[in-house]
Parts: sequence; C-alpha cells; structure tokens
Amino acid sequence: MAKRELKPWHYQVTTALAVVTLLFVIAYFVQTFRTFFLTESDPVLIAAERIKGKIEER
Amino acid sequence: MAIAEKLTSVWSRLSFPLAFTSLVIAFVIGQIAAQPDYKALLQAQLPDSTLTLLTEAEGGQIVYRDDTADNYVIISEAEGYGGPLAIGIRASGEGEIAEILDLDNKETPSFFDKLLRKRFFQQFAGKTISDDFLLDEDIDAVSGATVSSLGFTNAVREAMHIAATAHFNLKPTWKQTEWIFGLNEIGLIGVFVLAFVVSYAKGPLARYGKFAMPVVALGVVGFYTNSSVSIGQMAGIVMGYIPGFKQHLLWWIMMAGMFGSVLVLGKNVYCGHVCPFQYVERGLNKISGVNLAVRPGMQKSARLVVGWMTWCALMLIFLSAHPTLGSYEPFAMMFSLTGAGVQWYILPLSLVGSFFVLNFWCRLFCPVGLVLNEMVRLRRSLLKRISSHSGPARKPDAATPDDKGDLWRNES
Repeated sequence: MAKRELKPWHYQVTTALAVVTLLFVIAYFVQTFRTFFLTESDPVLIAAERIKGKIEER
Repeated sequence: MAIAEKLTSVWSRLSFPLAFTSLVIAFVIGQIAAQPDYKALLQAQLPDSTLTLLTEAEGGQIVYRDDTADNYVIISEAEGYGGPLAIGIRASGEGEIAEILDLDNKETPSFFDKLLRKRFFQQFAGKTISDDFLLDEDIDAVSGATVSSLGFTNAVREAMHIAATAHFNLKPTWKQTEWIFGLNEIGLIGVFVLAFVVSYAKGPLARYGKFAMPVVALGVVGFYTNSSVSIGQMAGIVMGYIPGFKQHLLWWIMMAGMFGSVLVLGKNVYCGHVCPFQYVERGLNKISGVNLAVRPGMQKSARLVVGWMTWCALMLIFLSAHPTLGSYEPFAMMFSLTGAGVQWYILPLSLVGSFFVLNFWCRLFCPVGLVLNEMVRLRRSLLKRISSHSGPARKPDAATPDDKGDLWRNES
C-alpha cells in the first residue's frame, strides 16, 4: 500500500473540523444546562432544601 | 518551568479522583432532587382544583380526590424510553378516564413532542377502568416514538387495573400483557450473531459476514429499530433505570450483547461491528476518497477531550436525573431525524468531518466508545493482575478485528 502523503493543510483541516464540532458539543451542553437548570428547577437548590427540611424535622 | 511541570503532574494525578468524586456528588444531589412531589405537580396542572389525598395503596398507587370537579386523580409510574415517568389519570367515580396529565417524564424531548403533536394522550379519554390498554390493540402507538408510547400506556394500564381490583373490587377480565418479541428483537439478535461470526469465523463465512455486516447493522440497528446506544442509556443503568424484561426485550438484547462481549470475551463488539453510525462515516469517507491525517498530538489529546465531554454529559445526566439530556451523540437524529436545537448542527458537522477524516466521530467525540474501550482495558488489566498472582503469565489473546473498536490506538 502506498504511503499517504502528509501535507500541513491536512492537519489544519482536521483540526478546524474537530474544533468546530467540539464547540457545537459545548454549545449543546450550555443549551441543555440553560433550559433545564435555569428555566426549570435547580436540582442543587431542591436537594439542599430537602436535606434542610429533613434535618429540621429531626 | 519546574512549577508548571509539578502542577501538571499534580493535576494529572488528581483529575480522575476529582472527576469521579464530583460525579458521585452530582448523582446523590440528583437522586434527592428527583423524588417528585406529586401534589405540587398536580396542583400546578390543576390550579383551580382542591386535592385531597385518599390512599397510598399497594403498588405505590397514590389517589387524590378532586373535590372541585368531583373526580379522582390516580398517580402512576412506569418505565419510558429515557427513564421512569409519572402521570396523573383523571377519572370519574365510575372509572371513566377524563384526561391524562404528564407529571414527570425523562423522555427525549423530541419524542415527547411527537406524542403531544400526534394527540397520543387524547385517545385515552372515554376509556374505562376495565379496558385492556394494550399498545397496537386498543391504543395506537405513535410511529417513531413507540417505546415512549409503550411507557405511557403501561403507566395508564397499571394504574387503572390496580384501581379496578383495589377500589372497584372488579375481577380481572382484561387481557394480560404479553412478551414483546417480534421482528425488532429477532433482527437485533441476528446482528449480534453476525457480529460474533465476523469476529471469530475465518474463511468465506467471515468474508461474507464482513460484506453483510454494514447493511444489516445500518438496516436493523440504525433505521428499523433505531436502537443505537448512547451515553444516556449507559448512565441510566447506573441510576437504576432498567426497563422490564417482558416489554423491553430489545433493550436487554442490546445491553447483553454489548456488555456481555466486553465482560465475557474482552472485546468491544458493539463499536467494532454493531454501531450503525460508523458505517455511515465509513461510507462517506469512501465516497470522498479523502482520508486526511489527524495530527498525532490531537489523536492523543482526543481521548482526554472525550473524557471531559463524557464527564460533562454525566454531570448533566446525574444532576438532572434525566438520562437523555446529556446524550450529545447524533445517532438518534441520523436514523429518526428527531433532535432539538444545537443537536441539528452536530450531525451535519460529524458527517462533513467523516467525509474528510475516517471515523471522525468515533475517533474524536464518541463517549460510548470511550466507556466500552475503557471497560475492555480494565478487564484486561484485572485479568493480567489475577494471572500474575496465580501462576506463570498467560500469553495474551491474539489481536482480533474487534480491537479496531479501540479507534484511538489503532487507527491513525
């Protein structure tokens, strides 16, 4: 099998594609975080309230 | 320079324990916060009603009396596609359903929207307590959201039939649920059998198998059953979201095939042969005829980046107790064309990436591959330790085509 010819722009293209995809994956996490934790209920606050309630009950 | 090196070494030693501890904390917080307050949820949907708790009967059934409308709301839980779901069934004193209230569900938002759009819940109105409530018999499933349809139907059936026997003293005249074993399940078993043949057989059988594998995996796992595995499903198991054997056999076949091959055989058969998305990627790469190289440093750091993305996904899943929220993979979108928001950009990008770079998504972004390959590695190192304690070192297994599932190591 012939050896593949490597050129600097190959790396640039693959890096650019990977970085753009990574940014969109991060954007997905941000979007999910915003829709769930900011518009719905914050699980950290709910858990803290429930634990506090349980301690007060005792 | 020395300080920077020291910090890097400390960070590399601490990062895994820190990541693991934070996941455990997120899991605990998520589990505490996820316990639903049914009365508050009901009151939010029925703001004008005065609800009185009547019973907390066997089977976990909770019944409220709506004094304003003079009817009852029965709470019921069942297993959906993404995890447990809870509904409220508003019924008259004679056991006739007036409406179904969605209280809490962990379905993929696009699938749940499909149910709402197709007016799935409206078909329950007017049904009575002793009806069968069986999917594809007296209840129509929504195409493309069958597992979600099944989950909600199960929840209604269970609640109504418990109420029928417990509160109305009716004898069961309704049909019982049957095993769901059809073309989907047979097809998936066939995919795994073929994958094992391709892994182990030699000669013409393996050659024909390799030729058929992409078509079968794409057809059955991709388009027909749309049962590609996501990080959400894996995290769901950790959270105890395990669907019933009788009604979700497809899930059990997939998990048994995937984890069984890792635990028993030490091979990642799923990534090597079963995952349909890899064939889409390979097909696109073949069409383009371009296979750009990935920078060696990037190949190495890709594992670290996928590790962090997997951590982010798991943090979201554990905190929200909602397995589908963290699934950033484009598989479901690819094969069912359902997705939400930014997800629609990830699919085309991964396809464009595959056009230029062989197995672009698998090599650089897939969390499922990371988890399965780490399990294979962990198993190997455990066996090595055991064999080094118990006698002379065993010759390692010969490399098999399945090792190609370990894409970070073998493909460059």
